[in-house]
Amino acid sequence: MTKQELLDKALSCNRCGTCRGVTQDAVPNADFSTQCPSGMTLFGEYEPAGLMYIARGIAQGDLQWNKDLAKVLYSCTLCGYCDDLCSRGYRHTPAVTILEELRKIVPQELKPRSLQKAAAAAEVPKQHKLAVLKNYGVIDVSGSGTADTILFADTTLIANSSKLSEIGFLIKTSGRKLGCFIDEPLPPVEQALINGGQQDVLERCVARIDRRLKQKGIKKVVCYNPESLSVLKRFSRSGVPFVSITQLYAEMLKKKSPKKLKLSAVTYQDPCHLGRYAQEYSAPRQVIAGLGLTLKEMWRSRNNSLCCGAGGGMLAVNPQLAKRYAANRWEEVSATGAKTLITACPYCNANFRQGKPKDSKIMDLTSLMAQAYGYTGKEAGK
Amino acid sequence: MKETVKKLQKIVGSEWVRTDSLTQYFYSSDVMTYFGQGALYPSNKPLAVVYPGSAKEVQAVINLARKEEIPLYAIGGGTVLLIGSIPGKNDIGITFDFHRMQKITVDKERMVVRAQPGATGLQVSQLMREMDFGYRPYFGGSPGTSLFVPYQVFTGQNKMAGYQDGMGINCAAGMEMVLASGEILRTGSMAHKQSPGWPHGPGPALTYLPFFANAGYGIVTEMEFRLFPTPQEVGSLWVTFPTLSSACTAMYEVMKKEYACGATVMGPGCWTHALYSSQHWQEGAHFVKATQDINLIGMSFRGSKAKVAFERKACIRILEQHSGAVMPDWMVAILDGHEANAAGWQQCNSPKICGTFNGKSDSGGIFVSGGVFDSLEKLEDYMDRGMKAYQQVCRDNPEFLSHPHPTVRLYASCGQTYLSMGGHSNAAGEVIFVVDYARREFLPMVGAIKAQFDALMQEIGMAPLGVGRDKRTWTECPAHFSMAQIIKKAADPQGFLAPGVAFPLSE
Repeated sequence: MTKQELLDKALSCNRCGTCRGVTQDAVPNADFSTQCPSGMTLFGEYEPAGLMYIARGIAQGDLQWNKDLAKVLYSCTLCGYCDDLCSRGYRHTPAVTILEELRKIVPQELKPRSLQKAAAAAEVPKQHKLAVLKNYGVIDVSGSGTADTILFADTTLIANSSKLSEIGFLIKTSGRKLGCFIDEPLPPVEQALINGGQQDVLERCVARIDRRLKQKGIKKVVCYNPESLSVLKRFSRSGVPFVSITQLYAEMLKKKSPKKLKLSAVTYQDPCHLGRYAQEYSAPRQVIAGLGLTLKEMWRSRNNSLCCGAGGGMLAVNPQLAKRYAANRWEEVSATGAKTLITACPYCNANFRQGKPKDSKIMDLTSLMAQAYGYTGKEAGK
Repeated sequence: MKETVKKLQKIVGSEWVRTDSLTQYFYSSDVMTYFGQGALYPSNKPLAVVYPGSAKEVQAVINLARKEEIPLYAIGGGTVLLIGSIPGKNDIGITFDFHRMQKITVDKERMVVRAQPGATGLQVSQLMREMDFGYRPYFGGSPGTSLFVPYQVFTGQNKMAGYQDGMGINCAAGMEMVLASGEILRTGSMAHKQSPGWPHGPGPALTYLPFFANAGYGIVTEMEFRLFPTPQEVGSLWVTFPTLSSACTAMYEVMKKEYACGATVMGPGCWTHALYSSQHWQEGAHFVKATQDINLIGMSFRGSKAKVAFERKACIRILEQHSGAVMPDWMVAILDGHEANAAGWQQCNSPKICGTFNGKSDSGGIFVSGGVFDSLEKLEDYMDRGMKAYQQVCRDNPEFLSHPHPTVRLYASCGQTYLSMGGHSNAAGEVIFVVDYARREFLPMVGAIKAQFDALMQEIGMAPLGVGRDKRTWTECPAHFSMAQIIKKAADPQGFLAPGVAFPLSE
């Protein structure tokens, strides 16, 4: 993007402030009427307009990159709400595009090291524990095995044997034949590359993924991590549909009844990359309903959902700030009266553990599913 | 300044004082300023921005600024659709941002809502709706705009919810203001805990003092607005007229009968005014352009079902006697959103219409020209000739008219709203240009239109009315301005409150 293109995009924002609030009909409670995680916590230039001002200032030469600008830039969770809400009106400032560009052009010395590490991990898979999946009959498509549908192993899953075991168990229980690139994994791409301003690396990795999907004749890819789902949907040119693992669970519940879970009312966090970015709102809710749980929605839900605070690499760059962001959401969880918060994103899950009220618990949707079908954890070692 | 910053940090906390380059840049411009071309005013950077958390902190900052002779400026909650928050000169002063002061409380007994300056119109609207109350102030900008820039409550006409309860300003019952001396003054309904929600009493009748003074008299830290019960029924009526004169005459007839709770005469090109609350902004925007010659009255009704039905019928009869034609339902549907406004909820512009007006602008694209008149004839002359000038520019530049954004509106507001402001006029005309700055080639033609309107204004002889820091109604009126200067000298003898905004820098 040229400076002029960046400027033209940034000039679409005139700081009207609409993006700061949730649409009026969606939130009848004034306590939960603001939306931007960084804006509602740090105010002023930390609001979406502040980031647009960075773009204007940089493009026009009014501002020079420095630590202060980088601090604001990396306080944004890239949740995409400002962009989405703005686009619901006639005017549309493409905030996400602008932010991604800013993270690309920020000088190297101002890029947080933690993000660089995360990005590097996404490019080259090192030690992985995908072999666990073989215990559950998942086919290794890196060799001679074939499968129409595969599980995508992202950075949060690739070396996480307990989560792999839960997913493997569920695949086996569902009776579906699923594959995975086990011995020679695919690059475990996810949003981290964009957070770190390495879109070029991401595009290169996705091209590699596309080639291998084509070689193996893969028809569908199931993603556990919403941050992988959203980037694959966005950057893949393979034509292969990428779906959330929650869709798999929803189908499974229709065919096979789970055991009843002993849980009081629950609430659900729409992960930004599953909801806003990948437009998957119904499958997780179908799963919750299929498990016989009573869902108490938060005021800000679905496309008005408030980010948990982990996005944009926040958990790696500034965990303390991510915790402050999470506190905003915990207030809303408490307001529902539900004691269990369900998430379908490993980053939401990790961030919500920060500052969790004592009387509340967090459950990953996959773990909940596994539990409902009798997974005990002992299966992992078999 | 370093020493001052340390002192400020001690008052509000180190996190809430910012002096970095981005902060200064962010607070250096608003919709009337631009970083380069088309600016009505220059961008001026403050030296520091302070986020106070309470009136006590505001007081402490004011005391410090007075002692150290540092100018103070203020912005409500960080958005810029209301003007006046930019320092009068580059690299001077401290700007208050009231984001941390967003508290809203409702007193059902006294029928008032109290809000701090960082609260947004959206937040109050939500609370009112939830509690089944209505409130009347109307705020410019968008739902994200702060409820009130602390010194500049939007005195808009509040359209459909409007005139029976006065302008937005008339619904402000009291306020808490920190004066230049550091004294905290509580006016009107806030003078005493048990004060009823009367606009003028029993406290000092100074509630309206800081309006339009742009923080020149003091910094408002809290304000109370009157509440109203939600009506059983609300309705609206839209009637077109062949001439502005016939519309105004009809309007006076309606007002004499005290029918309708909000009524506005809108001259040619007026539809944008009618569209402010509309949820069908896009269709409406096209309509505006297609119906530049329409004269319109829009009004709303509220009360019992029988009252609304009766008033509506009676108004139709009166308006038809003056050649009015009731607009068909399909056309009215474009204007929906006004009922919610009349009920007292949607007291800010619909986000969609904001999208239309402010779309793709790189500094906000509103140029204002207009004024108040001492006779209907002058108003009509102004609107008629002004529209012809506008249409000529459009004919000369067809791409301007065919573009989805640039438009012009003219509206005439008759009657009690302006009378209630001091009786200096009974008619007003206002022209607002909304321009797409992204198409910078439009700037010269907008300038041409504005120049013609301004020239007309002078020729016809009227008091200019406008938005913008040096275009206040009363600051343009010598008698009013000299009065304001006397108050300013008494309230802020050192002149450190917002110099260069409502009052000249030298003051």
